[in-house]
Amino acid sequence: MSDTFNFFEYYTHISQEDILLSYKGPLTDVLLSEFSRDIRAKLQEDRRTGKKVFAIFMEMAQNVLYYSKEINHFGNNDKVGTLVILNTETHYKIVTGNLVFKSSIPLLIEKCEIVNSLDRDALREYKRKLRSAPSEHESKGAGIGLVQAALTSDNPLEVKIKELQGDYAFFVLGVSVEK
Amino acid sequence: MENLEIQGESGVYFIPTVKLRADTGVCEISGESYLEDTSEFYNAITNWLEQYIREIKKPLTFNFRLTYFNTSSSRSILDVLRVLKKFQEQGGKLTVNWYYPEDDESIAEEAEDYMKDTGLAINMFSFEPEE
Repeated sequence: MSDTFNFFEYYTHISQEDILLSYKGPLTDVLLSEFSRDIRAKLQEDRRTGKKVFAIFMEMAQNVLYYSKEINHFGNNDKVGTLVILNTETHYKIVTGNLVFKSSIPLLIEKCEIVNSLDRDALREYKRKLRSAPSEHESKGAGIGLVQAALTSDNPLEVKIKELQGDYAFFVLGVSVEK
Repeated sequence: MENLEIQGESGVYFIPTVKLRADTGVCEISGESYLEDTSEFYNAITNWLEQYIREIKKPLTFNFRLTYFNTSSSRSILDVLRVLKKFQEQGGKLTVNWYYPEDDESIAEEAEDYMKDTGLAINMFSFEPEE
């Protein structure tokens, strides 16, 4: 990064009212529980929507915690990821970002495309199928968290991938919840 | 046979309250479920049920009164229901009640999906969650 980084611009940007949560760094279970409490406290005026945002955030953040390929080598080798919740006039949007292997991108995209191609009933059916099956390799219920996020939000998964040099790519997943 | 009681708490994880009564045959899990080791937690419940089925065999009522559970917990809840189904298939008298918060239809949907998965009849009731 060049030294033109403008801290005040950055600070102004993340201080905007439409950002409910913004974090980049090592992730731990303790942090996630703090974030989840914060989300519930901030959204307690609208329990129904607040609970959806909370539940989706938990699934997506746990996915980052399990699958991020970026590791903080200080301390406990915690996984590193980015978590953002936007608060717009019409909806909340939960966005997570983390490093993945380029080689796992086709499968990730395929999973998201399957989820987005299904209507609500088919999605419930698909979730039941995933839930009954023994867990996939390197999976603590992966896939099912994505399906649940789509079900809870009633919206498609928004996927963005940026290929980096070497073996890694940055994987960004967004899910919106209408107010 | 001893009862199994776990007092729920909300710390780093959300531990549901569990009350499994061998003397009355009434079991309940309530609260929120997001755990460090989900399998280990629910294995304690399925192991207790297996023992009840082997040794007590009296009518059993299982009440679910959860207000939140993550997808990992939802797999384990399916395991609990499968054990209950086995009890019923062996001639056990079983009642399963599913209480869902009135403002959360997704938890009601879960019960419908579990009925499809297991073939169990699950009674559904809505309740007003506490603040």
